[in-house]
Amino acid sequence: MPGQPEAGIKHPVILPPNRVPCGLLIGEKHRHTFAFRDNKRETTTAGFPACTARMNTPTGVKNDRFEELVREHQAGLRAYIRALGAQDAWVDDLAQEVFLVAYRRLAHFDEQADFGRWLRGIARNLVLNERRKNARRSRLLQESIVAALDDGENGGPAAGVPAAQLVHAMADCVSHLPTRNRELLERRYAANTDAATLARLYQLSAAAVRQTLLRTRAAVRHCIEGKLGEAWLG
Amino acid sequence: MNSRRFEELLGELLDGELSPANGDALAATLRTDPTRRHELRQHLVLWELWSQQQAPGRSADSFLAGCRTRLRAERQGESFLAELKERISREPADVPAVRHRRGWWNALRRPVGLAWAASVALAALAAFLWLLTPHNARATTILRGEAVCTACILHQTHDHLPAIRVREGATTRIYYVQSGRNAILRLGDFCAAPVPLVATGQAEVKDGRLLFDAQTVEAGPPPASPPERPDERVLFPF
Repeated sequence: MPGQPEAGIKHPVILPPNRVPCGLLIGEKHRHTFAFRDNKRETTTAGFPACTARMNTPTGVKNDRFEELVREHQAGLRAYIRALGAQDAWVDDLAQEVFLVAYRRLAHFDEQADFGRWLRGIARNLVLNERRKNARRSRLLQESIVAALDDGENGGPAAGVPAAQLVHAMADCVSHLPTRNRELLERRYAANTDAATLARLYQLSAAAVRQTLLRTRAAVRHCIEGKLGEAWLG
Repeated sequence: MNSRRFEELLGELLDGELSPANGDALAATLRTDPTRRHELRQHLVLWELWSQQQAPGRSADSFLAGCRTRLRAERQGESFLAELKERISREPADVPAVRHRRGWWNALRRPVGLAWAASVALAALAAFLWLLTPHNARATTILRGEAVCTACILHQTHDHLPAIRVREGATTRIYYVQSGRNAILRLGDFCAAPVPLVATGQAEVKDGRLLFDAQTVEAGPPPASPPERPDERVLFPF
């Protein structure tokens, strides 16, 4: 029964029954197609049409495209949070918090703006708040390192090369590594195995494992620079 | 700090084995050397992305599932708090009655207490007899229908609240749930799809709308109804 206000509910926005948007069907960066109850579709590149004011509310957008946005931005956002100085074990937790905040504040998001940039702003504030908390419970690296990283230059991968392209280049670089180095990297990250455990597995000293990892990482980084240029991080 | 030492500390940081003292040494060089800062940042980004690719628990699907769970928990938490507040405001007298049960028994053993108890019993009896007479205009109603979200499915509100949709032949009635919302939420996610239910409670008409105070709610059989209208598509079932 659109058109009738609901008891006890704040600020109902009532639209004519045939102009209530029932889905944001397709969305590119600045282009969205809305579906309406009368089975008509409207595409806009310049913000929302007047009759879709409701889509600019949390409810309208929340129910349609948010999952796709999470999927699209999660990898780059997690990498960005790590580069801000989050501990590896807490990156996903912090990134999910960023998406929760974004979900609550979607009504304030300007459709013309870059969603990834908006997310990175939220992440930055979250990390700043985290730094003000008790250091013993911090989800960040040592404060002196986080402070050193906070130089305003961190654009994250989304500011340079897209995360998907970076992952592709990285996979290619890793595939050209000697088998043993590749295995070491895979074991290190697939189960978050530490150097001491890897040393037992490969019958090496922990120092030798650390040294091998160090050289392998450096080789991969140089390989990526060769493929994408030095400014891939933005 | 020479390059070798820097790489050593970088490796320790990436492997989570950096001591506080070494951390301070690394931070000191990072503060003064933007090239090394950039290198550290590149490594953090690269190996984070690599970890996402390698660790099954860190895949995009796992991350999305985690987001979905946290959003659902947040919404259910808000709903639970609302119901708790509602119950507390309804039943303020119950708490002292339970807390002082022993005190009641001791009071009844005294003559003054006995007289007081008798007067309370008489008042209760009078109230009971009054309730038996047809004063109660809001009769108990049984609704067989489905719970739907006023935001996701009905598109009428900003907040995600349950309503009960009852179809009888060609007629569809929407009852807006005023109380018992958590019981409905426990039956299923009414934002994702209509949830069949049988609800008992009291209905009233106010300002042309049907309001419903649910007393008991049970899962019901899927209602024999026409196929869902296209406006019921929910693309993001949080």
